[in-house]
Amino acid sequence: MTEKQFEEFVERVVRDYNIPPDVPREEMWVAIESARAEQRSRGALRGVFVSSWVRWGVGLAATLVLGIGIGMNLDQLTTRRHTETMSTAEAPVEPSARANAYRIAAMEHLGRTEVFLTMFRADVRAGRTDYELANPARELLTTTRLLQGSPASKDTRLRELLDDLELVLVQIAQLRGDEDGIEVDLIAEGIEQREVLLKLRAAAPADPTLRGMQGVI
Amino acid sequence: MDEAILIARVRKGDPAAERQLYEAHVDQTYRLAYRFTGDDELARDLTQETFIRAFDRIGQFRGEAAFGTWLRSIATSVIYNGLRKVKRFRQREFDLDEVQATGDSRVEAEPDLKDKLRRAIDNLPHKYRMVFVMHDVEGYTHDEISTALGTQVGTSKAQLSRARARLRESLSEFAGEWAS
Repeated sequence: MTEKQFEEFVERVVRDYNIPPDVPREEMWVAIESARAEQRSRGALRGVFVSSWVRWGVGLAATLVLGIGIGMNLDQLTTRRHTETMSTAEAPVEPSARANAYRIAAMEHLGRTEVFLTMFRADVRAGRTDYELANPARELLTTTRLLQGSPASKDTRLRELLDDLELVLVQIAQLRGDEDGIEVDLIAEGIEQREVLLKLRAAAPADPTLRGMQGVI
Repeated sequence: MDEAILIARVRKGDPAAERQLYEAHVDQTYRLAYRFTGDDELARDLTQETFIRAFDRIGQFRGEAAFGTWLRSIATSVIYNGLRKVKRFRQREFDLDEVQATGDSRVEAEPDLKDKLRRAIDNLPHKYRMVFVMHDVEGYTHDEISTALGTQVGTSKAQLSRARARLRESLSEFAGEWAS
């Protein structure tokens, strides 16, 4: 039996493979119209919310980045001055107070990231992805990386969580909108597999404003 | 009507134009979805999803290729993703069937050649099955397949060849029958 014989056999038999029935055009069109109408009404509501959320998120992220950045610079400056002058007149910043400040910044960041990822996951589950989300993902990524280099990451659990977040946020930040959906599904699967949201919820404070935002989402 | 004009109207949100575009391409899309899934409900879902995505993203259609080609690339992507989810679901069903079959003393009749071929096609890896069904079942050219899947023509040919080799291997015990 040759390859040609096999091809002839396949050609003969394969046309019976999953023979399609009559196309249910009308039923499918009704379903498409109704899904699009629902999408439009949800989109109108969502558009208002997403825009304001994005503005809120970006604004807050910028403040946090600035805060962490200034904090790190001050740290370096204080250490340098302290080494250079060994001045006893200068009141040293309590290391524990500094660590607490970073920790508070980290908690705030985790809370916002949780809201963001919850929103992303909801989008994926609903079969839509809002590529406006790539911008806040970049902002959150910047803050994540700053925190990775800050004293807050001395906490092993927090450092591991920040590493997970970095991985997820990098992927979302790279979405351009012309993906075929596989990438988006893989990111969502990665979030599930690494239990990122569970870890975030365990680590982030029960901030009523953030919880409130989740409700809206 | 010229399809470019129709698409321009769809971009402006004209529902009648959407319907016309749908009518022009729905048969091909549904056929492809059904050939892959063998399930009417699933094929409907995948077809609907394809058109919903296409209308949502119509602004991204630059008209460099025909609308049908662009739509087919969305359809293959939707089908591919849909099959991944269904595979997980069907695997659970299959596991359950296996458990229920334990203790059943009846010996199943040997499936005939067509059934065997059907099973062998079902069991091909998705990327091979996609190319095999598009080429050997639905009659698409390698050019059309590679455009839809975003691959090279050579890749499409290689995958079809591997798909056939696997089928041949699966059906080797029936060689006498298919050679006749």
